[in-house]
Amino acid sequence: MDLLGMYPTFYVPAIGTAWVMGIIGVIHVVASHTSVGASFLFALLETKAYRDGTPEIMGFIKKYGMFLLVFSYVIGSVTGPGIWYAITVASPRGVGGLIHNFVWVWAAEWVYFTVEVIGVYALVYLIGKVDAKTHLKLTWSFALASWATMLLIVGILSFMMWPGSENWYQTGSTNDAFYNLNFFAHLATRTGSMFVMAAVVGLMVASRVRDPVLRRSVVRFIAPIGLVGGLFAVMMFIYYLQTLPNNAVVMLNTYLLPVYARAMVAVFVVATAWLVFAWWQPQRVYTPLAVALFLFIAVAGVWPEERMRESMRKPYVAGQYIYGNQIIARNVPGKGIRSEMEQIAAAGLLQLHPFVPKPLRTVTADNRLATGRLLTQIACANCHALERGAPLRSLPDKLHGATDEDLIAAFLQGPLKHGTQPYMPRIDLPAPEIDAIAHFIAAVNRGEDVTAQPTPSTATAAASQPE
Amino acid sequence: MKKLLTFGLVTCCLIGVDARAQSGAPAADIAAGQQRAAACFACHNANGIAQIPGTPHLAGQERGYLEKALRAYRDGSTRQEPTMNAMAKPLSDQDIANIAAYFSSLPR
Repeated sequence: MDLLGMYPTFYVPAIGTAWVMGIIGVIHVVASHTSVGASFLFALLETKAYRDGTPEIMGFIKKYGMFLLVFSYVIGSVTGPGIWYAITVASPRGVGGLIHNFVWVWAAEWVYFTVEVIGVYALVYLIGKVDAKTHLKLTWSFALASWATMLLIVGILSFMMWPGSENWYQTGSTNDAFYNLNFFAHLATRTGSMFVMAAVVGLMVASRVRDPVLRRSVVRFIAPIGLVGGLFAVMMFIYYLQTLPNNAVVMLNTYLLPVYARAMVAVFVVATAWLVFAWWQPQRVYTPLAVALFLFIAVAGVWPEERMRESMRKPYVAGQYIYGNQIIARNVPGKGIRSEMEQIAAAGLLQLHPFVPKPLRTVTADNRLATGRLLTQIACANCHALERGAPLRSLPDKLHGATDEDLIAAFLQGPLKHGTQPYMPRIDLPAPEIDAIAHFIAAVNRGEDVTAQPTPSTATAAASQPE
Repeated sequence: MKKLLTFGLVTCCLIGVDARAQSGAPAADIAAGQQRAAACFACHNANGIAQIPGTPHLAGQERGYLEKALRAYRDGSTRQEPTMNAMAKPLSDQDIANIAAYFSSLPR
């Protein structure tokens, strides 16, 4: 029997693997943007100290650098591999697709990351131990290496949204994938935001500086950088919105902006007000206030932005050719990749997925609930929680609690099969599998226990068959 | 003037109700229609105001028109549209009357 190259995936109730990845990712983005932004703040501050002959600023850089080392780099380094573990069980095939495109880009990113990590240690511990000009060069190298890690990962992240043209599908070239339509807008948005993050964290560190003159000069230096960065980020975000595919625009207008628009405006207003206030009253930048505002801007600013970007590329996980549920949705001649849609429509997922338990390979009257549950987990659970009222786009709720199996099946055979909703994948399955899914969803909506296993007789009979 | 207006409205309503009673259509049950239409809400929304581009709003739509459209989609000869043909296929005449009554009862 022919099998497709699909992998087993984890199912996390209520929040899905998507939010597991999302929560780790948000912590990572806060840490990494702070580090990258701070590296440029250091470089600019040190340049100022070098030109003005004010070495006391180096004391602040040392303090901030130490803070970064302990918090940002440790948290960033733990959550970075954490993302790898999470996506491997959430979207193994999506990751596989990305690795086949970007293996050398990632290799390059890790080289720069190594430079960055060694750079931050060297920067902190060599203050006062090497001459000022050498140290300044070191700090600028550190800043450029930090930004290079972000530049490289942004090319990969923005390819996940879409390549933006037909070229990549035909050539399969890494350059066509990397320099995709929304790469520059995405990079510019993150570059602006990283200055905001760094300024907000910088104020937290500055609040611990006792010398009022030094505190004033540092705060007055970093607050305007944060303000300009924020303005630039907002402008580039508007540009970014113009580089999105249609499915993302529909998703954005229909579901995301109504939920997140207020939080985004609130973050912009609060961050602007805070930076202006800090510039105006450097002595009143108290630590608890600075920490509270950092937490607000980090959580309320980064979570909606990351969640939106992750949601908007649905139904695809990468390059508009592979769906979140691992199914290859179109041919990519440049990579020798073929669509699996027709094969799945003819033979069904239960026959083609390598990790289906033997008793569930065929839908029978006895195992309809169990096969329905497994099929729903395979086909839907990457994006949808399967419990009523669950936070991750609950599938029962998306069908408005429908309990009529025939109409749920009709929905699968009509809108879903024909791609009526631009943010949903086309899912074309044989009739028995559609009925099993409808049976399962209706049972969930009726509030029944859906964890029941197929009857023992079926299981034993199937298990006793020779392999 | 106000009395005349009220009289006119009441008369219109009575005539409307009368016309419905004489048409021989099954008596519609709005609550049953709402329950049966749950899967329809995935695109047309529970309040009948669709959020997806290209999907029509059904709130307050003419009831007779909705019934006619659903029948035509179910028969699939005059209105061929794969999405709606599939959705209308399992519906009975009573379902169609109920669902049409539900969507037409919604405020626009």
